Formats: sequence, C-alpha cells, structure tokens
Amino acid sequence: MADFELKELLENNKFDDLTEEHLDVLKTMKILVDDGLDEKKVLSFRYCKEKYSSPYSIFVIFPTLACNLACKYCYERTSELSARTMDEKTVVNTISFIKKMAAEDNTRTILIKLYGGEPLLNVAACTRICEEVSSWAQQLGMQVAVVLQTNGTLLTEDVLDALAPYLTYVELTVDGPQKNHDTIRIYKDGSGTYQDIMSAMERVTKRGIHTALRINIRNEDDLRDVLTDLTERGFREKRGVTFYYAQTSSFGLCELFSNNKLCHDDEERALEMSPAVREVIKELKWMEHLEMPDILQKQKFVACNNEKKARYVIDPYGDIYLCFFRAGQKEYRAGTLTEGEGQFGSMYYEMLARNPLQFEECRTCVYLPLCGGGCAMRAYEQSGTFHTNSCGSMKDFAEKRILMYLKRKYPDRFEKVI
Amino acid sequence: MPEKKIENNQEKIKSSRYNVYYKVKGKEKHALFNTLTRAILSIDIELKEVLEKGDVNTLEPGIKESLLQMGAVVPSHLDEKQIYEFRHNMTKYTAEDSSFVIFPTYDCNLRCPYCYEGTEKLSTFMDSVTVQNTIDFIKRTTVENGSKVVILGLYGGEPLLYPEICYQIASAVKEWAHSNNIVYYGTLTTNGTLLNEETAQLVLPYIASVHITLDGPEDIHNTMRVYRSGKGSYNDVMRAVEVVKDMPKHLTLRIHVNVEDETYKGLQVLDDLEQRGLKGRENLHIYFKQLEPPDACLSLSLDKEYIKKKEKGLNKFPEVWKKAQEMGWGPHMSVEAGSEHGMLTFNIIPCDHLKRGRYSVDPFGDVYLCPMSAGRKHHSIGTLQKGGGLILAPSYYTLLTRSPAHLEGCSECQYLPICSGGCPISIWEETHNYLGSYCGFLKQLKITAIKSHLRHQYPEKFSEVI
Repeated sequence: MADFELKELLENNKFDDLTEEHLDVLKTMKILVDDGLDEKKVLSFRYCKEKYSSPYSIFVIFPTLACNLACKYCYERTSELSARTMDEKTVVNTISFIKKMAAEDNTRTILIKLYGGEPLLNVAACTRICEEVSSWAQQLGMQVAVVLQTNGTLLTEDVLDALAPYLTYVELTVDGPQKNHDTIRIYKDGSGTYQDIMSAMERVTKRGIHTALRINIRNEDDLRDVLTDLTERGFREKRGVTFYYAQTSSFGLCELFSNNKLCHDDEERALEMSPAVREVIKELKWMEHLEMPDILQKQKFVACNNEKKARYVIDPYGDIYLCFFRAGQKEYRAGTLTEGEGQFGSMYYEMLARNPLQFEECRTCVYLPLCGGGCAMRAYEQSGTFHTNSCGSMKDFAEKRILMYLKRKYPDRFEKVI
Repeated sequence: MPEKKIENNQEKIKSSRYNVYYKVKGKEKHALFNTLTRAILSIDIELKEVLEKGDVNTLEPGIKESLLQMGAVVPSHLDEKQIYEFRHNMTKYTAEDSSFVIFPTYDCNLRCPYCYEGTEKLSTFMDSVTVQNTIDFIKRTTVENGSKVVILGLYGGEPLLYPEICYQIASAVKEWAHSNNIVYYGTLTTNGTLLNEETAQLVLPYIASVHITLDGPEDIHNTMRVYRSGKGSYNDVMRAVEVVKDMPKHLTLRIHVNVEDETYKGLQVLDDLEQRGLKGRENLHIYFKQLEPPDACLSLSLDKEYIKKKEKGLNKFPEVWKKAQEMGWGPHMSVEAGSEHGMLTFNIIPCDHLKRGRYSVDPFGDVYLCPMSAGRKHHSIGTLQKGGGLILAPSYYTLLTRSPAHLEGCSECQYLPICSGGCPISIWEETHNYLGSYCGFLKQLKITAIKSHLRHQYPEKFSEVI
C-alpha cells in the first residue's frame, strides 16, 4: 500500500528517491511505465481491438413494437412508437441479413436477442428466425445462442414447445414484491402480472432453460421480500436460475444514456444501498444465483457494447439501428434491410469510426479507460455528432465506484477510504 | 458490405471526395477512378465539369443513380472519410488469422549480388530455447487473438539450412492447431537449393505452399543466383521445383524479369518449366517482379533510381503479362485489380504486415511486425520471454494506432484509400518518426499504377490515358 510520502513522490515524478524494490513493484503494476511508452496509444490499441474484433455477433430483433402490458415507467410506452409488427417479407430479409453479416464478421457465435415490444406477440417471426438461422449456422459450425427477453405473460406451453429447442435463456423482470409489482407491471386493464410471470418462470425452469430474472427494487427490503417469495416458490433450489437487481427508475433507460437528475439520483441511491443489498442476498442464501457485473468489472474500453462492430438492432420496419433505445425512430437508423442484404448509411460509419482518443476532453481525462467517451447516441443528441464526448454522470460515479470497490474488496485496509 | 447508400433519390448528393480523373489523349473523354470504391468510369468532359465544379443534383435521375451505385457521387451528409477509417480499422484490428514468419537463420548458402541481407548476423541460428519460446509464443498468441487460422511461414535467410528447426516448429504448431480446432497453414519460402528428398520428407508434411524464386532462364539465373563459390544454382533450384511438382501442394514461382530488356529474355524460363511438365499443373502460381533485394520496399523505397525503375516496371509489366499469357501461362497468373501481384492492390492498410496478428520471429527471438524489417533492431516490437510471452514495445502501439485519416498530408488526400499513408517503417528510415508524413514518390507510383491498370485492362477505352 502506498503511504503519503510515496504519493508525493509519484505525483511529482521524483523516482530517484524510490528503492529498487519499490520500483519493481510499481513497474509490474504499471503504476510507473517506461518513459517511452505512450499509454494513450496502448489505450487506443485496446479500444480499437475491442471495438473491431468481437468474437461474436449480436442481432437484437424487434419482432414487434407492440406490447400487451402498460407499465407505468416504460420509455416505449411514452414515446410515440407505433405498434408495428414485423411482416413476413421483413422476417425473410432479417434472416438473410443475419446470415450475411455473420459470415462477413467471420463470427464464431451468433447471439440473437428477441426483444421488443413484447416479442411473443409475434411468435411466428421468433420461431422462424431461430429455426432458419440455427440450421444454417449448424452446417457452418457456428454456435447460435438465443435470448428471449419477455414480460413472461404470453409464455405458454405451446409457445415453449415451438421455441424451447433454440432458447439459451429467458430474461424476465419483476418490479419488486407482488404488492408493488402489481401496481406497476400491469395489463392494459390495470390488473397485475406477478402471478403470471411466476407461472411462466416455473414452466421455463421445468424445461431446463436458464432464467435470468431482473428484480427492480427501491431498497433492500424490496429485494428481501422478492427473494423470500422466490425461495418459498422453490426457485432457490433450482439450477439455472440467476438474478440481478436494479434500481426501479421512472426513466428506464440505460445508465450511460441518461444524464438527467432523475437517473443521477437513481444511480447514486443504487450505489449507496449496495452494501445493505448484498447483506440481504447473503443472509437469504441467494449469493450463488446473483449474476451481475461487479462495480469495477464493468470496466470496458468501448463505452457501450452496441458501439462495436457486429452489433445490429433490427426493428419491425426492417431498419437497422445501433442502439436498442432508438429502434423504430427512423431519424436514428443506421441502415435498412433490403432483399438479401443490408445497406448502411452515414450514421453507421460515423458511429463505427468513433474513437474517444481523438476527443480533446477525453484524451486528457484520467477516467477514459473506465468510460470510453460515454454514450455515442447521447453525444449525437447533444452535439449533432458521434465524434465528441458525453460525460453524463460518468466522472461522478467512476470515483464513487472505485471507493466502493476498495471498501468491499479490502475492508481491513480501506474501510475508511474517502 | 459495399458502401451503398440507403438514401433515396430525393436526397441531396455531392461529388465523392475520392474521385480522380485522367484525360484520354485524342478523345473528349476522361477516366474516372474512385479510390474508395475502386469504381472505374469513362466519362465525357461535360460530366467531369459537373462532378468537379457543378451541382450534381441537377443530373438526370438515371445518371445520378449509376453514379451513386459506383460511389462517384454520395449523399451530401455522408463523410466518406469515416467509411475509409472504419474499413481501415476493421482490417487492421481483426485477427481472423494469426501469421508467424519464422527466421530459423539469417544465413544463406547463396550469395546473390543484389541481396541486401546483412552479413554480420549470418552465423547465428535459432537455439533450442528460442525454438521452444517461439512455439509457445505461437500457441499463446493465436489463442489470445481468438484466431481461427494460424499461418506459419518458414523464411530467412535460407530456412532449409536448418531443416530440424523447421521441422520442430512446424510439427509442434500443426499438431497443436489440430487438437485445438484451429486451421493450420504452413508455407516455405526457400531458394530451393537444399530442397532434396531428405529435407522434403522432414519438412514438407507440414507445408501447404512452397515459394521459390527464379532469376530467369539458366544463363541469366546462373549469373545472379550463385553459391559462395560463384557457381550458378539453376539446376539445383529446378530439381527442387521437380520435387514439389508431383506433390499436392501449392507452388508459387517468383520470376525475375528485367523490363529494360525489350525482348524480356527472362520469360524464356517458362519454356524450360513447360518441358519439365509444370504448365497446367494444378495449384501452380507464377508472378513476375523486377530484380531487387528482398527488402527493397524498406531499404530503397525513397531511392530515386529505384523509384524510376519501379515506375518503369509498372508501365511495362502489362506487356510481360501479355507475353506470358500468349505463351499459355495465363491460368497460372492472377493480375487482375485487387490481386496480390496485380497492378492495383486494394489494401486499405499500407501493407498486410502492419496489422494485428502479424509477427516475424528472428533467430535471436526478437519479434517484428514486418519480415522485411527483421534484423533492424530499432523496429523490433519485443523479445520473446520464457513461456512465449512478449512484452510489446512502445513502437508496437505507435505503429498499430497510426491513423492515416488523421495524418497531416494524408487526411485530405484523394489517394488516401489506396495508399493509407505508405509504410511507416520506411518513413521511419527517412524521418526517424513512424508518424512522420513522407509522401515522396508514393503518390506518383500509385497514379502510375492506376493508369497502367486502366491501359491494359480497358485498352479500347483507355489505351491513351495520360
């Protein structure tokens, strides 16, 4: 551990006063680097490597933009999106596009994410895409993984009969314990969905399909209630059940994308309650089911997974997007499907050529390796170009996360770190 | 995927920043070449005027559509430099295959007068520790890169001076690749003199492709490719060609031709090859080069005499190809645009060695990006450690992250997409800075190559292009 004097020496580049032993340790940890090494170039190299050579391709498919629920916080609900559903021609084009891009990306694994809207409002499209892509990929020795992100209310035995052979896992969401959930995640007639989601989870796990449950909570007590209920329903003893938790937000967009006060407060609260939440998980013996990136393991060079090559979002109109949250809004489309291929427009190239090492503000920022320049889409909305930084709350939280991580990982040394 | 535009006809368009024009002598026509899409068009003066100075939005819809397809006009909000940069980065950072060029030694049993390989380091060969480190390095790096294919190139020096080393490395890598579901491809670049039945039996089971050089027919070859004693090597090289001939392997013959000699006497070696039964052999590839040191692209790339000679070659090679085709060797050659030995290579990076997944390992265990730079210690990207580790030198990151679209002198150049700023290593040789801008004769050579390509590929339209 560094003492005050060492910090002084490091900050003032006074390395002559260091012992050999110190020097060795500091060099191994890359706290000191050779004078000739430009760490920005190392970062730029790693950034580009991560961005341009992904071993897998992800296709996020919106079989429909419609949904049978009317959750109060849903961003899709409040925006003026249509209830458009993918027609047969677009399904065929989507399949050709997946094959073409997977071949072009020289991918090893195709990840299909059925998203929406509620994807199971268009089971025919889901099934056909899974079926045709899987049999094609099998011949070429490629792996296919299918993730179904559904509200669960339409996950009947019949639907599972059709889709189960392809499903790698199913993602479900509950909005806290039933009494809260049933006021938020509601059918259009206002009735709650909790019981239906639990039944769906039962059916999925019974077939041996992995379930990933997102549990939205306001505080640790919410999580306690949900996990207690899940235990009573026998899910704790089931294999292939994982969960993660998130702060219930009234603005359900991703952390990078949001920089307004509401999201900032949400994230702040999430960090604050994190130690208490983990205590609850340990106490209720759910730790081995918890599957979420640790505070710092979130580290990535490219800000958002969808800013990389080999990421495609396809909406029911057959338009290609880079960001999930903009699907269906034509002014943000990066391309469009045509028979047998896709055609990309300028947005695609602009996004893919983005490199924060070329942004003045990012180049000198010590947090750049944790942040990657922030959300490209947000940058675009603020400045009309992807080629600029979008800090959002990043700097604030980077520091808080580091401190939180140190406290948790090395309680004996860093309990009082501020 | 082609850079087709999703925008419809109503949208505003502009001329591509990557259009270049060459006049056709005696005709009211111009050749248009787009350096990004590589599209070629014959256009009249009026259209050229509009493309260069006018408003392309006023063009007829039919013409607009074709020009859009070719990339000669683009939607007005499209920044084509981003397309270039995207494709450049894609090519540079993906490592679908990892390629390792191995120098078992820098030594050679020949003493060709034109060969520049230094003499001071000749006596060394790879010791057993370095051999093991090399094998470990190859395995480890291929996995780290996530490559589906590993390419092993035995090179030098003359690799067959140390057939045991070749065998040890190639057999270990091939076996490992097979048991790890990775495709293995082995190549051998040899002068041929030591490729006899014994070395063939030892090494060739691990080699899919053999590369041999001929300096022309016997009399010319024997004055150039000579043993230390001065004796010619022609018969020995031909024996190697015949050893490989009946094996199911790719065989590539590099044939040196002097373009100053209007009769192209060097081509006579083809007759001998025909007599030896090579013509029509499956997987035989031949290509022609001017006589030059193997590392000419580094050592001479800024030499005025060399550039002149190079330019002459670019103008003359179509004739050489035509002659060889007339002799019936067309099926063994690939000279069309985009092919490695054609006039116009379509690389979007300066050189195929300057990307992720490219390594050359010399007898000292020093690693280089580019085999031509091997032995020039300054360009080493690191030295192999025990267990095959490699701590990358700062220069690696400088070379890899060099971004031609942001280099002064390159960023606004119309030829950027076919040049990518030239070879940073040769630029270093001149400026001692990898990021230096040294266009030199590079642009002139690119223009010569484009025009030569136009002339020989489209003689009816462009034979008089100037």
